[in-house]
Amino acid sequence: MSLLSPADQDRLRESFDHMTSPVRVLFFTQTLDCEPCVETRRILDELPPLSDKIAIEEVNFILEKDKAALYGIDRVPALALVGQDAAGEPRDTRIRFLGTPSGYEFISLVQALMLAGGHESQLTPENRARVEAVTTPTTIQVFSTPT
Amino acid sequence: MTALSAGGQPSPTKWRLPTQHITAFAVEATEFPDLARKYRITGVPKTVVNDQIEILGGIPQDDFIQQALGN
Repeated sequence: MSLLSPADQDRLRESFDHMTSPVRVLFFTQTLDCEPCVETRRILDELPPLSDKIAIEEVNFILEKDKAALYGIDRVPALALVGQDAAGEPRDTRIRFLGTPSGYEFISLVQALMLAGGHESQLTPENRARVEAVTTPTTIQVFSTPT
Repeated sequence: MTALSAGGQPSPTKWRLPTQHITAFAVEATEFPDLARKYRITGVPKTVVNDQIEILGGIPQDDFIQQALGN
């Protein structure tokens, strides 16, 4: 039983059609004591059937500590989006999600997937230049709630 | 849901994210009370940059970039 209505699935399929390159979602999870991990898996399972450009790769947070550290993940459930550069090599988007991507976070995830998959960003040219001018490591955390 | 313009198809090969120096976390505040406490989350959305700059609410893109990046 899908979490998404057939109409929503159609809309998402249409949105994902704008993607031009594949995106891998690294899903950091653990099997014990993580109810939100189960819910996150259910949500993520909805995505690959809607686009052949989206793949989910599960990472065991307990057993693969090095990988979690590499992506700056210190809690679960967490997602890291990996895109592809012009040469077809994997490229970390440095976009992360902490917690279950439901409600507004699901919409943010959809937009992040599209961006990572080559869709035009909504930055104005001036703001894009400002972002490109950043040369020091910068961490931005955006806190939200599901509703 | 996302408002997507028709047309505007991106070129297939260009990498569109403008920097490798920014890491962005979307955090579900209710699932991580320790983070909500640490960053004094009393309303959402709240944005925290480098543990220092705080931006409350949804604000226009120009203002957001100005406040978040200070450039």
